Amino acid sequence: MSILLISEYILIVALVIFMFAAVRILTHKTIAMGLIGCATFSLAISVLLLTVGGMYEIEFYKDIALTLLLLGVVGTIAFAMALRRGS
Amino acid sequence: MINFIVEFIQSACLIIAAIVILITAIGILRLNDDMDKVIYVRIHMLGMVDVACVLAMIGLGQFLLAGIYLVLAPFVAHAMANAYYYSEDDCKYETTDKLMSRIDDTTHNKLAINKITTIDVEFKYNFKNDEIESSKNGVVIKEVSTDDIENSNLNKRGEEDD
Repeated sequence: MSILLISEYILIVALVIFMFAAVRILTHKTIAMGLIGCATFSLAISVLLLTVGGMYEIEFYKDIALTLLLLGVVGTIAFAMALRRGS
Repeated sequence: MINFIVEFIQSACLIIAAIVILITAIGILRLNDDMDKVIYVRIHMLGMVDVACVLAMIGLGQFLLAGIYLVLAPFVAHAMANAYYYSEDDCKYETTDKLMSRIDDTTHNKLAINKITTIDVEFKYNFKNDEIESSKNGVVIKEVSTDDIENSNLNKRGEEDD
């Protein structure tokens, strides 16, 4: 087992633990907290997909990760603008 | 040999990213929700995760994706902080009425009603005796109903007729 594979497994474990923390933020009652949690969760999912896709050599995981990352950013900024205007 | 060095650097990037992500996760879980302005603390903490994820992407060989997210991450953080500042800041939770007030972060906002400091006094309004009083200038603004407007218009017409 190479050192790269071990470090990828360590990263996956860290990301899964972080996703639980992101869910804790996501379930907070404030809208802005939900927004932060959602953005963070999508980021963690993207990196997780990149890692798994690299490990098992699944090419389309990279496309999904790229799409999720970009749309997550766009969605977060759009919702933040809507939240600001709605006040 | 070069392959081993590259693999070692990639592994180092991934392990450093994993450690930073774990530290942030522990920090998020241990952070006290009753803190003042806790959302800004969380945004700051998640900025660390953004950098760690960029490092992980570099370790995974996705340089373009890492560059794109490195540019976009500050925009996201700024947008979230800006939205919170202009929409849900605690200076707007002045009323104790549960139907009128929006749900706030913590009970801090309930405590903030009675906590008027010299800085907050410019932003806070008193809702006592059906009058809104600006604490800064001492100007009293009365609540106006539709009946008052109609009576005012009738009085104006009466004055014009005279």
